[in-house]
Amino acid sequence: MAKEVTGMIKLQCPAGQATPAPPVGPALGAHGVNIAEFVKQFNDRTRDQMGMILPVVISVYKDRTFDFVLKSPPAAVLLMKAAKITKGAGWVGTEVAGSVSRKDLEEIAEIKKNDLNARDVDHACRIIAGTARSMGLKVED
Amino acid sequence: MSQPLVWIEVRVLVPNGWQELVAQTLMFGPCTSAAFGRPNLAVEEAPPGFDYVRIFISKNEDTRALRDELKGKLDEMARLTEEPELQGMQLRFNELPAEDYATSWKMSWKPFRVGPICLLPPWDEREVAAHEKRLTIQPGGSFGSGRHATTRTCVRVLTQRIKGGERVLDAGTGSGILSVVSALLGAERCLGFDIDPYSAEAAGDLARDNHVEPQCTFRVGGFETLQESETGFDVVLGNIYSDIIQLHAKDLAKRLAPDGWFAFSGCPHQHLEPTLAAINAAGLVVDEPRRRGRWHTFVGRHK
Repeated sequence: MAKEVTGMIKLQCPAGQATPAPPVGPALGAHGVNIAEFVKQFNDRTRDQMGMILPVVISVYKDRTFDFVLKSPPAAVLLMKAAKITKGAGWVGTEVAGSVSRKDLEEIAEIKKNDLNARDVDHACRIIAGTARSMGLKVED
Repeated sequence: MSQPLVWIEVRVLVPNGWQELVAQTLMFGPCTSAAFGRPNLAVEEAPPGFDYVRIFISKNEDTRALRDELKGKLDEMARLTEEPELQGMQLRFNELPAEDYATSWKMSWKPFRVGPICLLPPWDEREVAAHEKRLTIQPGGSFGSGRHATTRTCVRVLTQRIKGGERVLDAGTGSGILSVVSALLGAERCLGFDIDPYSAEAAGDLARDNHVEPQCTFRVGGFETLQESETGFDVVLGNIYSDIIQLHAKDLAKRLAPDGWFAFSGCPHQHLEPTLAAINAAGLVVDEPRRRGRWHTFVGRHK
């Protein structure tokens, strides 16, 4: 079918647990999209990642149908994987949860650079480093 | 009926690139989802280099303690990142009008007619006249709700040309609408396929909702899903992108019965000439060119 895009909506929703409540409802409702159908499809496709928060970009077409793509996992998830930990520090600022290397940051920045909307790779690296520090991860040079 | 929940929008203006971290920081407890950017024209646009991150809390969870906690987490995150561009971000709280979002979108989904086909949503149970056919449809995750110019033109062609008993091939079936309309009009067998991995299920549901499931088959994939022996279709439909029509005009022609007819749509005006040339080179002739807005539809047969 000749799909004509009329809107792109970026959201972050819990895998398998999206609901018609905001932000899904008002964002999609403004485009006349069938909200229950989006919620059902998003939850079906993400059920196996339950517990994760997933960035999603929804394309709305002129005839009010839609499709969506799941973007790269949040940087925090990639950082925890790199630091081999399952959660960030409980008391960020006083407790160190783990550490990541400069190389880890560069690799994650590479994965995330398109989805982050960063100005350039350096900016993407700074964002990933800032994210790491905010989780109680030490950035090793 | 219970009153819909009232929601509070919590909005932060964020330097570009940092949206995800800000969203992540604010998503805890009752705040489970976030929106970025400008989801619709009704909301204010962020200044260049910035973007809005929005999270939402229901009014009955909106306490001073929660607002303080949100502010505290945002400030703490900014401090820990050691990034000057993140310092001093402000939270703005805005109460949204009460609305039941699960159902309110339906208000803007009006029934419409194309020839004798009445396209009605499932919740509209009105009777249609004896000479009309009801198509129960609502917009979903596969393209083809009937509202786009190309789909409407194809539906109109079907209402004018399907006589009953035809075998129909529907390339790029999307929601399955053209196959289902063909079946409602009396086609004997309809075979639809689409590379959209969710199309076959959506199209199957549409056929079932309209009681034409036995006449319709849907597959996921492109032309490779067709077997060599699957030829001789009385009607070949292709409401797809014009570059796909150009690429596969010969494949489509090969499947068409010698005395069959085709309808290809989805061709924007700027692609008119190469698309017509490809159709011609495939041994087909267009004897009914149609146009709706900037979209062309070609109806024709073998030369």
